[in-house]
Amino acid sequence: MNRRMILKGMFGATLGLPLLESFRSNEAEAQSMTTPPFVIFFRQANGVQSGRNISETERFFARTDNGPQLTTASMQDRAVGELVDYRDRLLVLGNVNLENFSAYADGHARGAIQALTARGPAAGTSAGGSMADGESLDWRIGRELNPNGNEPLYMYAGRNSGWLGGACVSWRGSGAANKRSPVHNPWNGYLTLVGGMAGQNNQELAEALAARRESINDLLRGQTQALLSHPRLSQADKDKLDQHFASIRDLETTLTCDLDANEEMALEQGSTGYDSTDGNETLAAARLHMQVAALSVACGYTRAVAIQVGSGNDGSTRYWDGNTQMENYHYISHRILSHGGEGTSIPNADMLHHKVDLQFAQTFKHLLDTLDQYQTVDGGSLLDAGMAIWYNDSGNGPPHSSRDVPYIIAGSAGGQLRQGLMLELEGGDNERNHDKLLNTIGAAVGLTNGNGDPLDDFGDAGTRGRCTELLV
Amino acid sequence: MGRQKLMRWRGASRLTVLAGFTAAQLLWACVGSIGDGSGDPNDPNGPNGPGEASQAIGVTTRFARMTHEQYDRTVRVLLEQDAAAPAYSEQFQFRTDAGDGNYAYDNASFVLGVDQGLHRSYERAAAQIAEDFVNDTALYDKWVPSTGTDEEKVRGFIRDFGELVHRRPLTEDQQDDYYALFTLGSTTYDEHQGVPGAVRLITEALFTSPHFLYRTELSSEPKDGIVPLDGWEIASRLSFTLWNEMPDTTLLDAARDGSLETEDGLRSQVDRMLKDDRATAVFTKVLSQAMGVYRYANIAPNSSVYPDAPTDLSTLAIAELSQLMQDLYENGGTYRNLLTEPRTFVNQETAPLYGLSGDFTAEFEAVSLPTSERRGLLTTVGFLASNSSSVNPDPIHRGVFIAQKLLCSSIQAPPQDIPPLPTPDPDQTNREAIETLTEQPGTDCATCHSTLINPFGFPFENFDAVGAIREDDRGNLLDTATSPQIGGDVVEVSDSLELIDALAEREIVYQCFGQHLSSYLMGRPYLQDDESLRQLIGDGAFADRSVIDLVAEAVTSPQFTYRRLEGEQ
Repeated sequence: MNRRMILKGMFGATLGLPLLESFRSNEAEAQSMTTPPFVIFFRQANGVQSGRNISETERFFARTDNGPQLTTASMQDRAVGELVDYRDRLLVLGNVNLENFSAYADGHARGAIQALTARGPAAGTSAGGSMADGESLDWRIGRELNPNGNEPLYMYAGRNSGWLGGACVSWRGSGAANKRSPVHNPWNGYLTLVGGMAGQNNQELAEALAARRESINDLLRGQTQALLSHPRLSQADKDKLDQHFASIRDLETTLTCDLDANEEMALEQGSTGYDSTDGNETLAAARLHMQVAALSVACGYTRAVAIQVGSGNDGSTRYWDGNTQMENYHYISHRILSHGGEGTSIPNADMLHHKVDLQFAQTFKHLLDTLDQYQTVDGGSLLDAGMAIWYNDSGNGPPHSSRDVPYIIAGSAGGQLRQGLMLELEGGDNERNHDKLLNTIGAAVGLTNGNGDPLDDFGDAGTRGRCTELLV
Repeated sequence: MGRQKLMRWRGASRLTVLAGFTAAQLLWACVGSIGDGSGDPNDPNGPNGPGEASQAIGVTTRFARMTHEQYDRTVRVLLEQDAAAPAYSEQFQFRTDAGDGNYAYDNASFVLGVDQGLHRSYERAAAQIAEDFVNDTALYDKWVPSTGTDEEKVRGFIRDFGELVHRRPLTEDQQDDYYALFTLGSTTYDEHQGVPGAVRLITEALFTSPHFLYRTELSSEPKDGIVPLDGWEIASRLSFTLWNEMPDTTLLDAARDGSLETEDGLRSQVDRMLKDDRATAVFTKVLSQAMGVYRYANIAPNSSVYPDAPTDLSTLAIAELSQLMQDLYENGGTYRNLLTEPRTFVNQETAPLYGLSGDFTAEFEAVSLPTSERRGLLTTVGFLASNSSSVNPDPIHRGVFIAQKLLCSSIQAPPQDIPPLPTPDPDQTNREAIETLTEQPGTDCATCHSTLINPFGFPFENFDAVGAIREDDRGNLLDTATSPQIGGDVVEVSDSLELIDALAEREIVYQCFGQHLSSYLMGRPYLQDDESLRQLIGDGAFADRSVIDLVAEAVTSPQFTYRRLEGEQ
């Protein structure tokens, strides 16, 4: 068991995971024996059922009547109360405000695309055809910090179509050509992680497979380079081929952060409901994505993961209220039987929205439980080494406000962030500050600006800086 | 009400323009026009980059990656499998390509690329394809020479099968590169040693090659400022565009003997291809997508208000549209037919929505509808119900559809934080409620709604949210008269039928159709430089040439068989 750690694995079974091998791929970090910070974003659409900026009962955020400390009492009967077991390791943020970019001309696009890019839409795009105008933070982290050029995982649960084309939160850059395609099936996410070596427990066979792939990849790299050398290529075509070239990766037989056969079977057989409109199946798929996401950061494959549930308006998922299936979530969030502004009222829609929030909170807790089961090389919890963030595109239901967008941060990124608090960001000034929050998160993971200082210039040229009040 | 069956599209009659005002009297701030491209001409990375703007061919990617469906269909052709064979893309979990809300079709060649996850899936699929190939004795014997030295056998396989996979002859260097895998391949598989092993490894490489995954257009020598595609490139453009899969041997033979680069040879192949069922399937889908089938998924009538509406109306409407488009394509229909003919397809569930009675079954069948009630696509259940809320007709989205899809007008997206539409009071019609909200003089809303949107939607107020005719609006009189702008004129219409006839008389409507079709043929959103292609199609459509003729004309034109010269030498 030398250099291995006994961990609780993906399905509660004992798992031998060679964390040290993967974490030591970066020599400097290995010497410091600390786990590099990471972030896993978990995205919910359509706002939450909150009393902020709407005449509804507050059922989401924690109470602060007796101070900002998160307590059992302050979280009781609120959606964040589902996370009460982690109250000392949470940062619940109010007054997180997006920029109200009018060019998006749609609250869903404004939230879903801006949320990880801190930018308005690409020129000439709006509403359901909106495109990002720059890379998202998860991509930036992966691009700059991931080992071996690994792309950050982008995962999607639910029907991958609909408003904004379905997947819409992770971007390589500006415009349609840089819109990322997510992993839809959790099993496929795992296969991406292990390089198609699933079930390959025989080291000799694994090495033979790797040798075959390497020989083929050498040929493919040569072919791709030859195409790149053709005269008169447009920049768009060069970018496309460059992306392809970077995607041709050899297998790493030394990075054996795979599961055993039983675990693989459980993951593969459980990965059937990822394209469902059924809310229970969708959130079950999200939980499997979380298992793969946790494994990917535990193995040092990536420092950033984005998990998206539902399309731009999550307009096809129907969650459950006990044994009764609700109308689709977008209708619920509008409180009427319509994707537009007119329709028959849905009785108790605000309470139904709250029940959806509770289910997302429970799903997020599953991520926290999973991360907490991994032990880092210095004996701590993997959760504390990084950040798991549950966020939303907008602040509430019917208006889909750009104000008070929920951000629930679990984990301190290795002791960098304050915890156990419900804070009103920047004193509750109701001004744009979401871009500063992204810079804070990026800096906590390890990104820097052009001067080598902690990141403070991510996003557009609006407000810059970081939310220093969140730092220890 | 009885029913009549029509077996062929009829020639459309032309009506007189009803009335006219000058467009200058009205606001145009929210309007684009035919010919407006969606690309930014100042964007150096964009598709319209700093090229020679005078060239009348819009830029296209030189590396159009196969869609997953094209991949599966092409693999089936190469492995000579039937359509029932399992799809490798499903077996190996190809991740779904990101959607682009600005492009209606499946062949988004301008954005489809390869990332790490997809490359891994391609690798695993290729490994299985290679194993299947070698285990298929007939296929193996067809492509691997049975005589000669081992090197001659493997080189023969690379030369011949490689040409099929690359869809063009391999260069000597490419053949050598593949042959370099011989030694490793011949010893790496326990079950396939020697030549079979080498063939298996080389097959893995072939099926992950960018020359297989992309439709590569490598020709770069300009002629009169534009670049003629060679026969192989034309063959692939034609085949993936018209059949959604790789070229067949007849087409590749035409590329090889050079006939595809002649006018007669090209036309002969196109005529052959357009009569094939594969082309029918492609254009059934393309026409449906061009006419907004994506919105049909939203059809969800309120069961309390419409208790007799089919519970699966969305699916039924999609099927009806598909039948309509297939019929249009196969039977030489024109775009005017689509807009004006009182013909559609119904089954036992949808017939009542059209007021039809009789012994209908679950199968759709062609029917003729009363011309006093319905004409063409805009009076089908799908269009009407997909542009409705669950309860009421939605004249705003009905109007937006006509403005955008039939007139190719650019309408600015609405401002944010619009209050919900008010629930009409009992004495107020749906129209009156919307007019109150959107047409207050001097407001931003009125700029677009009063001239460009609502006038196209209100004429359909006599159709309810499931597309059935209604005589009143909750007891209130219906008002379907409007004065929409069409092609620069203001036309007075009393109802939807007059609006449809007025639209069908205007050339701009046909030029807009040309824009839709040229966008699909180019594999990306419409650009200004596509104008000549758009006009070629639009002129033909206005002259009542069949859709199949329009496609033939377009794909045999230089706009399709040449590409734009761009980039640095």
